[in-house]
Amino acid sequence: MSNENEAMESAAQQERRLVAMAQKNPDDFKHLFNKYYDTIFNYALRRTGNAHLANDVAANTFLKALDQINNFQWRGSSFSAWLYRIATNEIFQVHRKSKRTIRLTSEVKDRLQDDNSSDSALLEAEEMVARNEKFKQIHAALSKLKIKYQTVLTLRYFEDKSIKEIAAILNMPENTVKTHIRRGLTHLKEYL
Amino acid sequence: MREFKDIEKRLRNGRLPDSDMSKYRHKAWQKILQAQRARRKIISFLSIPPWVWAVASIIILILFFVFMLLLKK
Repeated sequence: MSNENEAMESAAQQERRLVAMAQKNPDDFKHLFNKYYDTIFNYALRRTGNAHLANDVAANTFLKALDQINNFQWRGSSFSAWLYRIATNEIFQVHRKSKRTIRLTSEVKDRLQDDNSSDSALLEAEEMVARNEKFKQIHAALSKLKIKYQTVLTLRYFEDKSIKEIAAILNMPENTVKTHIRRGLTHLKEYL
Repeated sequence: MREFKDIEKRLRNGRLPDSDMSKYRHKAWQKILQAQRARRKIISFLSIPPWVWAVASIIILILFFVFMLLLKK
């Protein structure tokens, strides 16, 4: 247990060191990008179910983080929680722009195959989504819920975040997070 | 939360595995840098000192009056 604590502490120290480096020299932001890009991309992919949208969300998240890195302050939450918060807002913007809930479509895959500029890694991610029937079923049910419920349920069950971490990411009290999870699960039960 | 045990299990089982984006990361970083450069260009244009705008406005006004005078002749 103490080894686990030590590992967590050293990870936190490393995060602090990388953030301090990036705040001094924006070129060093690349280390933070390399560390968290996959995490944020995968979170966006699980939320949107679309590799291209996830790529846009991840890119905008890091672009905003790069612009705002000097304004970032440690207020009891981690740097990754801050990135999750930006990504969550970006996903919210995507939903608002589309004015409809994002659902998986088979055309997405065809479009990607036709698009010569598509990268193989994005295509692989898209194919993985298309192949995973369990995820597609859950995602379709989740996308019928309100955004606030989609967000907490994804963070809790897909990203494995604790209530405390979700509260830090969404900047809301822990009890509100618990209520949202309970209500989200109740609604989800109707669609599954 | 006992009544949600089954649905929680289904959610956890339906989790999409992590995609390895290491091959794409470099490209994504380059795109971010490009976007940041483009954004900086716009910001640097908008952050021109006020006196430059004032001088430019005066020059445009003078040119306008010269043009009007030429038209009158």
